[in-house]
Formats: sequence, C-alpha cells, structure tokens
Amino acid sequence: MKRVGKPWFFVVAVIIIVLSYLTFFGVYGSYGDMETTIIRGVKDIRWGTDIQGGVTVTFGPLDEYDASETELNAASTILETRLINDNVTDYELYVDSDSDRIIVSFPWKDNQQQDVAATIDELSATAVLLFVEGAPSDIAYVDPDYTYVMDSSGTSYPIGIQGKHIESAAVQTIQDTGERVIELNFTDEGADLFAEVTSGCIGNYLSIWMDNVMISCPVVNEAILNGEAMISNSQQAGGFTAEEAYDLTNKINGGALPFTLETKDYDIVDPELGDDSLKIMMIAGIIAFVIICIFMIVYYRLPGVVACIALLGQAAGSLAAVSGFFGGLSSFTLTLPGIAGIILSVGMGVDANIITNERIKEEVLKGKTLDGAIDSGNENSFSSIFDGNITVIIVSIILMGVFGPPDSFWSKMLTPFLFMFPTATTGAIYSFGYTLLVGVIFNFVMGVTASRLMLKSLSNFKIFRKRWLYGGVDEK
Amino acid sequence: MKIKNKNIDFLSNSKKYWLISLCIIVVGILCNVIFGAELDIKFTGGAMFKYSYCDDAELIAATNVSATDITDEDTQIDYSAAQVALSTALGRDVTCDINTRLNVDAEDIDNKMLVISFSGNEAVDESADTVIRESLAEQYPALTFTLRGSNSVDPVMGREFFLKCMVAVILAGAFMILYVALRFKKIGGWTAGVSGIVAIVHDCLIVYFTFVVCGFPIDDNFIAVVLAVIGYSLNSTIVIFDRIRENRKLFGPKASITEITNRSMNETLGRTINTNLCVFLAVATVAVISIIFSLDSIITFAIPMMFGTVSGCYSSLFISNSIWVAWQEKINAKKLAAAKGGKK
Repeated sequence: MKRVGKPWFFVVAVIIIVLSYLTFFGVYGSYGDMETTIIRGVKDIRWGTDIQGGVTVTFGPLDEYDASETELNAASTILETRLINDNVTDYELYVDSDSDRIIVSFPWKDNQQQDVAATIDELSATAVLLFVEGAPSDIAYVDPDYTYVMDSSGTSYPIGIQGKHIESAAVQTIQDTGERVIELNFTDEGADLFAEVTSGCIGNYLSIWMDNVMISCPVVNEAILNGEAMISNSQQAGGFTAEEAYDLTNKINGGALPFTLETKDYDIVDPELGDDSLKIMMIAGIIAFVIICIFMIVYYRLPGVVACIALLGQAAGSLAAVSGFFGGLSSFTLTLPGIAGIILSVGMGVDANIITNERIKEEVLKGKTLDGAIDSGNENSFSSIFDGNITVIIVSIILMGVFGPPDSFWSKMLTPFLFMFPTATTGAIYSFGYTLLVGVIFNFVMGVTASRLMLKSLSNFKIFRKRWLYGGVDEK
Repeated sequence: MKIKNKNIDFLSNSKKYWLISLCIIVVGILCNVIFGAELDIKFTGGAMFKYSYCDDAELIAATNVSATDITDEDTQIDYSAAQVALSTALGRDVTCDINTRLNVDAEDIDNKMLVISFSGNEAVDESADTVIRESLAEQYPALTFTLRGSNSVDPVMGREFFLKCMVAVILAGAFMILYVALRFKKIGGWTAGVSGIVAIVHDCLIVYFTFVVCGFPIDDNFIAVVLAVIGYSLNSTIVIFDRIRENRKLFGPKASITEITNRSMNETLGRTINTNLCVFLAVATVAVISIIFSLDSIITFAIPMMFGTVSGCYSSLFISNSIWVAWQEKINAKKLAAAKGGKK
C-alpha cells in the first residue's frame, strides 16, 4: 500500500469534525429579514408522525368500487388541495393504484388533535365542484339545492352546473398552435344545461369553484351546444403550463368522481408523547456513542481512537443523509425506529474498524513490522467487511421495498416478488431501513477509507510507533 | 515475548451447544402454548382509542375553578361499569384498561391513560370518538378526557400486510442463502448457505419467544427486529466463513475441516465478540432508557433486539459452523468411501 503522508490524519479528522458540526448545527444565512437554510442541521430534520404527532389515514373508494388510475389521481389531487388549504404543507401522500388506496400522513398543527374525526371527514368528503355564473370574490353560502351561491357581501350568483354534470376533463394540445388547453366532456344532462348556461352569459365570467375555493375563472367566448368545451389560458403564450393544466384537470375530475372516499385505516398519535420521545432517543444515542468510544479506546488503543473519529463521521453522515444536508436537496422523514436504526448503525459502525484492528493486532503479535502489520491488516480484512455488510444491505433494501411508498425505487424493484400484496406504507419502518442502509454505506466510507488514511498517517509519527499502541507488546 | 494464544475448541462439544439451543426452543414453545402469542391489530384488524385524564381530585380542583367540590370518589373509574356503559353506547363490546401515564409537561396534569380496545377485528369509524367521549362525560362528569391516540385497521388489509411481512422475511432469507452459496462456492456454497439459514431460523425463534415471554404483541416492530437480527447474525457467520476460505487457501485442501474451522473461529473470535458487544451495548442503552421513560414503541423494539443480538452471536459461534463442519465431514466421508469402493 502507498505511503500516506503525515498531514493526512489532520486533513481527514478536520473534514469529519467540520462535517459533524455542520450536520448537527446547520448553517443559516440571512438576507434582510429572510432567513435561509444553507445547510440543514438536526433541528431541520423532518420528523415522522410518531415523533411530532399526527395522523396517518388510508382512504379507499366506498363499497370496493374499482377506481381507475385517473380517478385515483383526481381524488389524491383533491386531498392535496384540501391539505394545502388547511395550511398543512409537510404531508406525505401515496397512491397505490393496484389496491385502490390513498395513504395520507401529516403532522398536527398546534394542538388541533381534538377534532380528529372532523379533520378526517373533511379530507375525505366528496368534493363540491361548481361552475358559477359571474365571478364572486368568495363564496360564503351555497344554496342546499345548488341553484345559487352568495358571497360575503350578500350578492347572489346563479350556479351554472355542478360536478356531477361533468363526464371528464383532459389536457389537450392544439395541434396548430401548440397551446395547452383543458377539454371538458359533459354528461347528456350536463351538455343540455351547459348549452343553456353558456348561451346566457357570452362574454361574461363562468368561474369554477371547488370546496368554495376558486380554481379557475374563464370567460365564456361562445355558446357551447355540443357538450364539448375547452378552457384555455389566453394570458400566457402557449396556454397553460403542463403543471397548471394537470392540476386543474385533476381538480375538475375530482369534483366529478363517481365514488366516495371511505376511511379504511387510521392511526393517530399524540404530539406531546412524541416530542418527549425524541429527546429521550437523542440522549440514548449520545450515551451509546460514548460507551462504544470508551470501549474502543480501552480495547484497541490508537486504532480505537481512530475508530471513534470515524464513528463520529458515520453518525454525522447518517444524519446528513436524513436531513438532506444542503438546503435544496430532498430530505427524509425520520421516525423513532429510524433513530433506533442510526443508533444500531453506531453499534455496527465500528465493525469495519474492529475487523481491521483485530487483523492488525494479530499481525503485530505474530512479530511483523508495524507498517507490514497495518498494510496486511488493511488488505486482508476487506473481503470480510464487504461480505458481512452485504447481508445488512439486503435487509435494508427489503425493509425499504416492503414498507416504503409504492413509487419509491426499492418498491418498484421488489414488485416482481410482492406484486400480489397491496402497499403498506409504514413510514416508521421505512425510515429504519433507510438509516440502516445509509449506516452501511458510511461504514465503508468512514470505517474503511477514512480510518485507513488516518491510521496510516498516524503511524508515521515517531511517538505513535510503539507496538503497544496497536495491541502488541513493546520490545525492550 | 509473550503471545496470548486463544485456542478454544468450539467443535468437539457441538452436540451440547445444539442441545442448549434446543432446550431454549422447547421452553419457548411451551411458553407460546401457555401464554399464547398476540398479534397486533395492525395484522388482525381492529380498533383502539386512548384517552388521558387526571384522577387526582386535588389537582383537578386546583386547575378548574368550577370543580372545586369534587372528591376522590368522582375521579375513580370503575372498569366493569365503564365497559358496560361504553359497550351499550357504541353497540359493540369493548374492554377498558387504565395505565399510569408518564407526565411530561408541567401544565398537563393528566396522570392516567384509559385504553379502550374494541373486541373483534372489524375496523371502527373515527366518529366513535364522539360517542365514547359523550358516554364518558355522562358517567364521569368530573373528569376531562383528552384523545391521545387511536387507530383502526381493516381486517382484510391487516391480513394482507401480515402476509406481505412474512414474504419479506422469507425473501430476505432466500437472498442471503443465495449470496452465501455463490460467494463461498469454494467451501461448499450450498452447505454453507443452508447452515447459515439454520442459524438465522434459530435467531428468529429467539426473537419470537422474547415477544411471547414479554407479552409484546407481534407487530411491524417484530418484522424490523427479525430482519435486523438475521442481517447481523449472518454477518458474523460470514466473517467466519470468509476466514475459513482464506485458511483453506493457506493450508491446502488436505487440512482437516474441523481444524481449519476451529482455527478460523479462534482467529475471528475477538471480532465476533467485540462487534456484537458494541451492537449489544448500543441496543441495551436504548432499551434501558426507553424503559426508564416508558417509551412503549421503542421497548418492544429494543428488548427483543437485545436478545436477538446475543442469539445471533451464539448461533454464529456454536450453531452455523458446527452444522457446516458436520455436514462437510459427512460429504467427505462419503466421497472417501466412494473412492475406496472404486479402487476395489
């Protein structure tokens, strides 16, 4: 093995310490009053509902109606819109089109857990889609017979048509101009009604409302008599952007859904208990880390000290992989089993160091020179470390595939084996699999590469050339 | 110069070690028959609601001006009466449990937790919350109940989830045998793979018995622990196999399998024990702390994981290799017999 210069120990150690500092405390910049996150610290980690409290609900169509993928997507758009209207932004939503399930999980806003039933009902309620003649500023009252709505100033506006009159909505691109538009198809009853409504309000607004929130406000250009209408966006060259078009289409389809969502499963966790358990797990992690460091230093001496620095790097690396580290990158939800996974990885994280150090100790005791012992220890231990860790990689991939969201990479990889089973997204265990996997990866980076560089570099210093420091016996 | 020379004979007493494991498994099965295993509602379907309340009359009086005249009599919940009243109100049998609640917040005086479990496996609508609360308010007007958690699982989804978990465990085992078999072809891949599997089945059983003996319901934590334990256990086994493979190269094919295996196990003993000790220390820290602070979801993870780690270490030292050696020797003996037979 190549010689490693003296400064390498300090380079690697400083990198690890800086990385650890950054992942624990983060870096925040401020631009005027705006505070921006440059590097995410521990406090920016997105905690699972088992820690900060929250709801996980599985919805499915009532009476085992067989919903199509488009219908499910429309339904999930409705759920998303409602969550955003409720100011819930850090929700997770998964659609499983094989078993017609939509899984939503979101944390509590400050102590709202008292009206759980109401929250869930509100989410899954059938969307009310209305086409209103004119453009009211808001809707304060809807007539129970759906003939008119009233805004907060008391002005009433007639309702043109409702969601049930719409057959479907779809995104279309006009061939000549490339303009993106939304095509509406009506039911027979809806087509007649729409012809009547549009004849009466040419040149006026016909605003579209879902759950009393305006989603679009087109102007009627002409009477539409054949039951096929088109909504275009003339304010923008090229019409709607793809995102706008699909969003609006899904909302309109959601209002025209032929089925009602029913709550299949739910799990509600109290926030207070969760908050406390986070602190407890943090303390457990720190204690476990300290105990392992003491053990490693007492047992392996100098290589033990190197292992502790590497272990710090591994713990920081795992947290960085969860938080996403850089402000812009996507982050992972960390749950209690996820934290347990990090702590387990801390326990397992010294494995690479233990295998290598045992090997070095063996060679030193056999009477090899120090450099020879370190080199052959490093070389001979790699296949053990590699083969051993493969099993943990297999386990974590299966955990992520089985308990992960249906659109995740590992779920798709395991579909050939698990195709007959529905999605069972258990965020808590998914997070455990992720932290285990990340732990193994950092075990290679820190326990193998970084540790070797540090140890080789340290062994160049005269004061560190005593055989005792490596588990041997000094020759007198 | 003194060299410490570890030379423990792992293999000549292998039948004794198998017997120890067998005894533990028999005791485990007996416990399973006597206590029975309880499947969590996540797998069977069912529903449960949890409410916190305060049963200390003085504390209630101190925080609520309109309840100054309540006495301890008003605050004690009578299980059976509450059960009957709730069952009538909900139209379905329920059982009530009262646990002490860990008090985390100074402003929060609730010190008890009322757990209402619905009998049967049918899911329950979240509106049951309103019915429960009304019924409780009627029975115990002095108490304030706060919903602390609830869950309900559809029985069909629960069963499918259970099957999926089982398939996951089998899948993990299958991938691992395959890996060991391919990677250790030189030392009789399939025998090594199958011996490793016997060891991990052993570990799975120990984890299962820990759940049974401790009375933890079998839930998704169980699956996570089983998968993690088999990963770590096989990891230790593989490190030993790896050394056997290396020593086989060193000493040639003529060296006795028993000797080489014993030598390899002694050489890797430090690693096997220390790595498992570190994992054990980490898990034990989590277990102790979660017991102190009664974090249920972590206790049911950490305690079985602790036993699983010990079992994993034991099985990779005393089960997998000794089975592999016994098997290989049988194969060799047969080959030898065949060769001798051929010469005649």
